[in-house]
Amino acid sequence: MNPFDRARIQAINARAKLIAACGEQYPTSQQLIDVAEATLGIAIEWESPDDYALGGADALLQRSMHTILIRDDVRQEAKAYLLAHELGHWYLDSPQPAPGTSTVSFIAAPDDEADTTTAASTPSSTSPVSAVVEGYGAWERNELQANVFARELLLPRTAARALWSAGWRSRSIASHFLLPLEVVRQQLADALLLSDVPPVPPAPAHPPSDAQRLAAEAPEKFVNVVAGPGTGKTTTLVHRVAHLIASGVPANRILVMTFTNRAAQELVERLTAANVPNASQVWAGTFHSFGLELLRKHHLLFGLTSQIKIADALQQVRMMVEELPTLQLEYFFRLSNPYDWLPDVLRIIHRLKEELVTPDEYAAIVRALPAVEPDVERERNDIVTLYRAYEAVLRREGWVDYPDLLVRPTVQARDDRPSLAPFLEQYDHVLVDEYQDVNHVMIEFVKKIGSPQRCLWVVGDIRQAIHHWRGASIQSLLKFDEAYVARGQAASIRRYSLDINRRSSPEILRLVERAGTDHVLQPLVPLDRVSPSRSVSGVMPALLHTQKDAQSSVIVGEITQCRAAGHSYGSQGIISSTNAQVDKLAQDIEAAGIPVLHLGELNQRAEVKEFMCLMQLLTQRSPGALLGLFRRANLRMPAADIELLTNQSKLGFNHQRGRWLSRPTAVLSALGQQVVQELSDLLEGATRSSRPWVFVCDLLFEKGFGLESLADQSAAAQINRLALWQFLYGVRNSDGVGSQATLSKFLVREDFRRYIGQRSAERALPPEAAAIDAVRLMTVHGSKGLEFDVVHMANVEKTKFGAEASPRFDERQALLLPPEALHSTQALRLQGEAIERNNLLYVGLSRAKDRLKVYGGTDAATIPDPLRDPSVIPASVARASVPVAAPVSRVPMTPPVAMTFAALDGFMTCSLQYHYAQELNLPIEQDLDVSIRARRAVLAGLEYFYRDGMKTDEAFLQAWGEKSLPTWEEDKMLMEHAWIAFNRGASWQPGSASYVPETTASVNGQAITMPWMLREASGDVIWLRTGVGLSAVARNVRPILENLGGRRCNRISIHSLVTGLSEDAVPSARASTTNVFKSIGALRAGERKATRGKHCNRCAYSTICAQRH
Amino acid sequence: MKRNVNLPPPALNAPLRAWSDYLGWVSAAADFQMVGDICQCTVAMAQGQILEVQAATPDLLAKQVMADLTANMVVPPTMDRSATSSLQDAPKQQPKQHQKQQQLQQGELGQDKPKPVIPEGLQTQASPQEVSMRSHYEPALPRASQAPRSAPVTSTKGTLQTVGVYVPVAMHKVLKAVAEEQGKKFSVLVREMVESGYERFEDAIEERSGRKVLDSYEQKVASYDGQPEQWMARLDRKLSLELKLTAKEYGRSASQIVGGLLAEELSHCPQAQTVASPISATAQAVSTTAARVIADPAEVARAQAEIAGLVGPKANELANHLGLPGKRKLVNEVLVGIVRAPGVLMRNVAEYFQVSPEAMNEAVSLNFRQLAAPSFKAPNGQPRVLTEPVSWEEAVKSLHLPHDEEAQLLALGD
Repeated sequence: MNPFDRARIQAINARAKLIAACGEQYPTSQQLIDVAEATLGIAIEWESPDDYALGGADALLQRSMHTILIRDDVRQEAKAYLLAHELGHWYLDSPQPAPGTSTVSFIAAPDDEADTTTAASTPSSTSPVSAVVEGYGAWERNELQANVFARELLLPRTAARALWSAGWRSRSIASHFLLPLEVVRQQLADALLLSDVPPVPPAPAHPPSDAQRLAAEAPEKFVNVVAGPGTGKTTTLVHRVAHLIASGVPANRILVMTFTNRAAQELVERLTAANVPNASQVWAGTFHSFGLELLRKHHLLFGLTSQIKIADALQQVRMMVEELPTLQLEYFFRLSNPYDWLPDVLRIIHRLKEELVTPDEYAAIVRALPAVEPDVERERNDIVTLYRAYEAVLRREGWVDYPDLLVRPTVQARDDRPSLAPFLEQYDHVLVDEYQDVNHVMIEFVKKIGSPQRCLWVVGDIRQAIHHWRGASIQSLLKFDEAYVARGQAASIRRYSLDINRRSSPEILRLVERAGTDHVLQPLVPLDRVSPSRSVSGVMPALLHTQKDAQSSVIVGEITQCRAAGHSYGSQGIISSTNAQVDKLAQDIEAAGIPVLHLGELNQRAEVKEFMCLMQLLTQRSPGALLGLFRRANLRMPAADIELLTNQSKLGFNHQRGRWLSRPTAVLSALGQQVVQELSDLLEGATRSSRPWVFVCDLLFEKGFGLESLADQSAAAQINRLALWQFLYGVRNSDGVGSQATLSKFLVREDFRRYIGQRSAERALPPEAAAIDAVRLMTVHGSKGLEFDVVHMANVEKTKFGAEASPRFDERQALLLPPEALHSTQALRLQGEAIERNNLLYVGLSRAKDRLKVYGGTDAATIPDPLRDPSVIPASVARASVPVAAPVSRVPMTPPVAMTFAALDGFMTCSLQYHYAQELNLPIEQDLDVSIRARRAVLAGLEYFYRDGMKTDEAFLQAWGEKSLPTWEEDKMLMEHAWIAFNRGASWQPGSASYVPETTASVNGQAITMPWMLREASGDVIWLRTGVGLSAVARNVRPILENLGGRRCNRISIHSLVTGLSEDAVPSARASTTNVFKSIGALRAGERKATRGKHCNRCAYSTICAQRH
Repeated sequence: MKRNVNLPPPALNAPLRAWSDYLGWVSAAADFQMVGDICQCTVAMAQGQILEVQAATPDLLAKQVMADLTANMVVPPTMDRSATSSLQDAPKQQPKQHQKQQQLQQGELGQDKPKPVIPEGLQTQASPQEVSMRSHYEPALPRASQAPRSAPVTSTKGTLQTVGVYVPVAMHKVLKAVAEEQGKKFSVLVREMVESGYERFEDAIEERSGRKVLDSYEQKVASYDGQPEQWMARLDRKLSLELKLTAKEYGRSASQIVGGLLAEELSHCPQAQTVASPISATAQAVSTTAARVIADPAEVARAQAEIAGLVGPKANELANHLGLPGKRKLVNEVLVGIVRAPGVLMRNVAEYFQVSPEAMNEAVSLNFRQLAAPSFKAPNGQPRVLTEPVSWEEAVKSLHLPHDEEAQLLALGD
């Protein structure tokens, strides 16, 4: 159900009345206002902004006076919006004892052109995280709904769509109909990019079953409701709140904590639909939004401003990078790129914070543990140092991170409860959804919330706890259960169990039950009996054994069969364990022609890349981004012209950053000139300092770029548009600091985001996506709370789902985050992991309603135990039916006369990247971290030392100076670490090892240039490098040794100056079998294809990736 | 404050039962852990001291804990129900101890794991937190001369100062009735109301001038019937000093201020509304000089309903009727009590709705009180909510009317 549907329906009804009154099908906002009072029966008063009745607000609904007051000094567009927003409150908010006052969170733009008439906060001025977190509290939810109402009243999606088809564009609509441009843009975005789903009124709640009613009406103070999958958890929650209100508890003394915004929204909407009085006054939201509200209200107590700044992952990394020069680190070497290692350290810090473990406590905990390798100890020490610095910088700069939203209130409430008591004690009833997923800080926080007589009512299913890996503590529920079991029918604590499954067929339920009983938890917490409400369907779940590489094709076959049996694509879901598996499945299944709703990484999608390329044309020096527009015939610049423009761009700034768009370049071909003309029309007026939001909106809603296929209602086209919608809203909220980014800054930030692996995919899809008829694809974690007619559970194997599988916890991290620091023990940790693996199977299987297909390997021993009983799930062997995708055709290409080893290495990683860098000579326009520049200085200094015989310190300082690196005073550690690396390299006596300048080797007929090296008297070669990974280099260098500089080199010793490690290599026994040899063949044969991998996050060509002449 | 008046009837097994409950609580709430090979139990005792007991095995630990508890406990545990009930309002009356106990519990006990475990004997509608608090408290309850409390109790004569209060008889009676309703001593109620009233006053003067706020308070005092009579309020010394300073600042007497604060608090007190009617009837009987007749609640309800049916665009009709054409907003604001209208206007309004002026006045003031229940949530950009009706003068002036028209309207208020 779309939580905003009620708002839309009310707005559409109100608009219908207004249209009937003014007799215009597309009235201006003035015309609407003119008839509003008489038609809707509510007085509208225009007041000067300092009027006492406005009380400083821009507009205000005085419900008991049937009056809306609006300041009279704003432009017509703003007046209309303010009125529409307050009308939203009038129609949507349940009447309440409190005044119906509200300021308007005007959606004013990150756009100067928009009418920013209010001082009220705007969503766009908040950081991305807080934009995600916001809007869950009662007040904010009402504001959001009123905003949706206002937009739909002023410009309904249907009208926006109709106007668009009639040739109107965003600015013309705004100026003609006197509407805020922002409203027009948002409505066009929703109307054109989202599937057309008419709003439907929510279905009334079912009457509760006996078990649900008992649980909802539980009189005890501590209630744990065990809600197995499909047993109506949310319904019970709704009934609980309704029961409380009916028994006289004021709605505003009820607090419901959920894990997602949508769950909270849905809860309140269902209450409203059930006519529960004052439902919108119930505080329903996520833990984090509750924390945010608390921080906001008491910001002075926390030394924050009322506009809480939430640092997202990138912001955190950037702040820490700036702190590095002031820190004394033992393990992390400053020549390592901090963007590589800081995100991991921050993850550890976040975990510690969520355990309420301070840096000092962490230090004390690890100190008390048995001795470890010095290496690990140094890393632990660094974590302490970095943790302290991180907390200090957050406080100094007035930021909070995501864990802080819970940690800081919890700590404050622990240390000085009276300071927060008025806020915390507003609630007599605290309800927690999905209690099995709470982590330590949440448990502590919940303990602190509520009046002394508060009741705690939690609903959770310990068998659906699948967040152990990120700190969820199963103990919270185990303890609840233990308490119950130990104490019997105590009056103040009780466990209830919901006993009817309305979701799955009896056949599927039997299997789910098997997964619940053949489970490590069974001896501790036996599975509660659940009976099916449905009758026997006659369709058994099926286990299909497939070869690993045939799995996708088997799934494709099964999807098609299920579709033939009447299950649309949209009602089928594929579930797998890991994101990587999901990505792979998406690729395969899409390739087989089945629509898949899996957006993946937005910036890897073709339709999004085009927008990024257009931005890059204006921000990058060279015009390489032209390649990214090849999908469009009218923007397909001939290769020769791109080369020409690229060469020109080296001449100076006049030819860079798209300046050539406005100046005719006679040297281009006719076709090239045509493309320039098209582009300059498209990008008219935009520069690299344009606002990304305005830029993208204008492209979409003025130029219609990206909206060419609106008529195409195929699932694939709808998914593409959905991706654009997600991208658009990402752009809108992309700015971490709230300052208005420029295109250049936006792209730099996106690059960094990609580098640190911040996934866009975590953003929830809008509810309209539900209308797309495409197979859903998700991880087990992502499937939580969902259900499908048909579930295909892929890659099912014991290592992921079995009790006894080897722990997946990475050893190094386990040493850094020992269980002792996580309120756990080694045994509890292992138990938690085993439970979680079993739970994953239980959760995945229980998503299915009618059909369930499980796909595993051909070796029956790898299948988890619950799936090995043919009487519950018959097994069969399935073979691929759909042919694997055809191989890519290749055109032979001329290899270069000589290529560097680095280029060869690049080719082997991704041949397409090689093509862009080496064959098209597209420059890399990414910022280099100072650590990388320092490494280059180290190598350069060593060359001065060995080649020119300079003294060590002179050589070092000269190289350092040449790379314009920070001075010793500015960044002591960087220089010290560089000096250490330099000395590692300078440890050979000039007499014992001689300098060998660049040499050439030959492999498979290809000349490969090697960088300078040292040669010892024995003839062995020493290669000094600053890279980290040695083994790949050592492997790839072997065929080269056969013929290095015209002779065989018997041994090469490769040293990493950054790590201090080294590795030796000897010539290949059979060079022709090596990867290097084969790669050179591929190079010649013309292989230039994108190879997906971790390197993609660092690739400078990601926006043009996969495009070539 | 009643504490230990009603001890339970003695029963032979009661002390032992109390001990079993207490031990039940200890087993649930104390911190048990292994320190090396030693079993350790940490219990927070009644008066905040921490008892740390160690033993080689859990069995021995249990025995040792019991031994140490009996040895260290000043007062044995009790099942005193009246003490329990008095403790339920203890947090309000004894904020400092409350805090202390909570910190103790959260800081030293409840730190590591959730412990929603309650022993059977202690499940009388109490959260573990309460249970633990109660258990902390119970041994500490002052029993006659035993173990006097160390923390200050609010009502000690030495810390209070007396202020004379001079308010109408009816108001005095309402206060008494409210005290009875709330089961408090009159002096305690008055003290609390003056305290909260002063807080409310301080909030109000952030928005409006103190003089205006006090004016409105005094109007509320004046709305009570009967001759003024004097009685004494005993107030906290610090507060009474502040009241005297406030009185000086606004050129009023401390008595006026206290009277005003009380009248204002009564207007926010739901019980005052329910007790008001019978009281005023009595007051009327007692006081022959009653200036006003108090409205009949049914008539007030009818007036409110009439108003609710007319507010909004329809208020134009009434504006015309009152000779205030085009002043719809003003009329609406009068109807919901935002603007305090002159008597003559109110009489006309009452006439229009065919209710008595008293009922109309009451309805309007009730409307405002219902309007102003402050439960508004907003993170920032929150508008100011009126805590007091706006004066006629302010309302008229904000209309920015031509001079003579403004003067005409203002004259209504004279």
